[in-house]
Amino acid sequence: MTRLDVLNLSLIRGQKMLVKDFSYCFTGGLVYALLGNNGAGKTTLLKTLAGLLTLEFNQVLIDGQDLRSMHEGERARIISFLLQHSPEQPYCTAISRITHGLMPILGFNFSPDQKSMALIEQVAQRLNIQHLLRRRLRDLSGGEQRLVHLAKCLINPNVRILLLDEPSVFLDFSQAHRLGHYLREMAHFGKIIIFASHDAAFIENYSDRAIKIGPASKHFVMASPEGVAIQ
Amino acid sequence: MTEKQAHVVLFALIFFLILSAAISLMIGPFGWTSPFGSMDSAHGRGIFQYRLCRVILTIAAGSSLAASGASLQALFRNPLADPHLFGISGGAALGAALVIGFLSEQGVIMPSAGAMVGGLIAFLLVFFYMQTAKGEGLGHCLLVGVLINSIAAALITLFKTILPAHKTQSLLFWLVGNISVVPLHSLMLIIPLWLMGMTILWLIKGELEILSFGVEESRLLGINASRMIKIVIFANCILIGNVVAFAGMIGFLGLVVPHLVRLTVNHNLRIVLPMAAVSGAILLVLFDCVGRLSFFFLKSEIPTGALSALFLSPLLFFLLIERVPHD
Amino acid sequence: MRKLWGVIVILGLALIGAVSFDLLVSPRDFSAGASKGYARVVTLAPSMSETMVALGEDLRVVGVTIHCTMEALRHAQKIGSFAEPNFEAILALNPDLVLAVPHVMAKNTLDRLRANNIEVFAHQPDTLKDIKYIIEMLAKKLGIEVKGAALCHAIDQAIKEARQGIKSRSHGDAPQTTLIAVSPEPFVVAGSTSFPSQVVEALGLINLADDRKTAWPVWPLESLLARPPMIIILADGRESLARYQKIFRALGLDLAQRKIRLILPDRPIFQSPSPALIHDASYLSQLLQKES
Repeated sequence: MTRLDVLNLSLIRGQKMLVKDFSYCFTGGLVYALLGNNGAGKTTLLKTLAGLLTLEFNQVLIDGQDLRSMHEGERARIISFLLQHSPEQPYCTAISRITHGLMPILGFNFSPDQKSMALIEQVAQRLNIQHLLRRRLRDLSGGEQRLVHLAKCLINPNVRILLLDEPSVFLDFSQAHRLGHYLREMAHFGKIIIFASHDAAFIENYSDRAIKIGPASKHFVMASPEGVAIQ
Repeated sequence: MTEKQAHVVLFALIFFLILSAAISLMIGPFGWTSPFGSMDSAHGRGIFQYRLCRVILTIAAGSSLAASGASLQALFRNPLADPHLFGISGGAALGAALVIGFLSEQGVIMPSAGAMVGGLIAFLLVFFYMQTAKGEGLGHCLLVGVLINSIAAALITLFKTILPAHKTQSLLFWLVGNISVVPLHSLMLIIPLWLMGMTILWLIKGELEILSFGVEESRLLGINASRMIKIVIFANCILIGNVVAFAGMIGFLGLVVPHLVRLTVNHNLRIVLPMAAVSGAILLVLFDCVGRLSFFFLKSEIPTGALSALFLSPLLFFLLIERVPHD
Repeated sequence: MRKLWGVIVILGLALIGAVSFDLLVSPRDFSAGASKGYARVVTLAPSMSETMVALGEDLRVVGVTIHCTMEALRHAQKIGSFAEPNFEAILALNPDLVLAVPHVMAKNTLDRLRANNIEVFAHQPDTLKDIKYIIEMLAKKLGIEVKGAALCHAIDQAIKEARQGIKSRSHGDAPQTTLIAVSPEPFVVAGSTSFPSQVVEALGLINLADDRKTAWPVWPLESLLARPPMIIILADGRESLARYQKIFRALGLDLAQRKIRLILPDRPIFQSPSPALIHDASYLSQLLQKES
């Protein structure tokens, strides 16, 4: 079971203090949702947990290891991140994009062999995009592109923590459904899933815990069984 | 097209390159001959050395330009990115122009030396700007490159108007881009620089592919983005400074060849980069053959740079309107 | 770390490759150069071709540039332009002597020719002294020193006669100032270190362009207005008159009013730093004497 400990984390954006002295312990096997208004700091929190933003020592620990002292290659092997916006990249096929997810463990010049291809096809089938693999990203619809980026996040078998920023955006009902189930399955394997979302239905159906980020010092945690009371 | 198919195509292209090089060795100013010139020439080895040199340099130039173009198009996510973007070639051209215009009386300093120095200065300007600029500043260092190119172009235009006629002719000839005689000892500098630049690009093509998705994405996948950007720029400077020094300004190849590869073959940089390099080499070798054959008819060689622009622009247009379908 | 090693190994291989290439493929024929008869001469500049013709050695010339249109050298193979001589074409002619003007773009070609054991004689022909030096050296190489001396003498003689003609007409007037215009746009004149200037000054005129720094300075049009010469010689000849007139008109320079004499040859003169200037000198002298 993976453990992600946050100790007295404060998030500042510009002059504004978003979160003050946040301490929490995320455990594997659960899907966590981050909610809050726009600009509240959901994305900032996720990025900090991924190591993208500045961090002090001993503020974020993964299985006891300080995130600050890990270098980026190590982090990439155990943390997967879905960005809210992916830059407009005109030249890439879907299968290549998914392959990127394997590169932190298999090297950046790696070309998919039989085993990796099987893995890629498996993930693609779970998200129902296997027919899109050979197509260029720019030729796909918004939802299809998003699913490709998601596949890239989900393909790494060694990943311990999944951080997803607005995963259900652009997805239609059945796509979101497939994704939600997949995330739950990953959680069952002991991984920690944390996603930020506006999508009430998605949060309600597929998360175990909800964390609301509000005005400073007003965040709180709610344990929730099947139905999530969003407040 | 799968990766396996792409590898097959790549090998086919390499074979084709060797074939083109062999054909090029058989072409001389008087038509088709053996690689040692016509039968009764006493300078067989000299001719062979000249042709071999020329073929090697052409391969180096073509592959450098095309690979550089592919890498920059990925780095800037911009289909119009071109190797001459960073100001390196502007600086190199200015250096060579200065030598041709004002320092050639001594006869000791060669335009290629001027080009190397000019390119190096331009690179240092861009590099130091990047070091001091806050954030990753890709867009900013591009501006520095554009600035350098503009200043260089303005100064070169100035030279064209104030220099005497024969020097202007030399300058124009140099600027249009042509690969001809190069001192043999220069090869010892040119070839290692070319190999170094190409090797660097080859080794980082995977990271570069991810870098084209943005700096954040790269960091999340474990890539030191700012270091990678600097490495790419460094490799490009080596490649382009080198090419401009010995071949002048051969434009269009770096811009067009990656597009040709992408439109007909594949889109992923890991395949596009090596394929563009080989295709660029093949194209330039073929252009060089045409240029050398043109001597047979016109008693004067058409410069490779002119041929490259002449043939590649309509080719690209044709491919774009054809819209090759994908599987 | 492994990548760095890879780069170093490749660089090492490249270096080895380059050195062995030089050793293995370099021309090692020492057959050429044994005979000093110079039966096969290639010229890389029109001035050199003209010198060969003036020395009567046109049959030895086997290769010329595309600019060379002389009737006497029609048998010669074209080997490229003055700016870009074609190395292989030269080599294919198997020359034993190459005559060239050592400008920067040709340097590599000349070096490579020397590396192939072909003798190269290169000299910059800017001044009269240069031209005579070239004639003398060439004559010495070809074993025709007498002809060479005669040609140099002919040059001196032509200039002397030309000067006599003018002196007899000018009746001891003060020497006249002049500019030799070589190109209309930009307005380039022959500087005092160039051979047209030396001829003209030998004819008794004073060249206003006396800055010794450049042989072909761009003359400021303002100076033309402020300090006009008494004579303007249009070296390009009649074909360029219209362009010069356009410039003078735009400048507001009325030649008649300012009493500036325009010397307009029917054909271009001083085009080439070679013995051809003999004819140019006498022709110019005739023109100067005409309305004196």
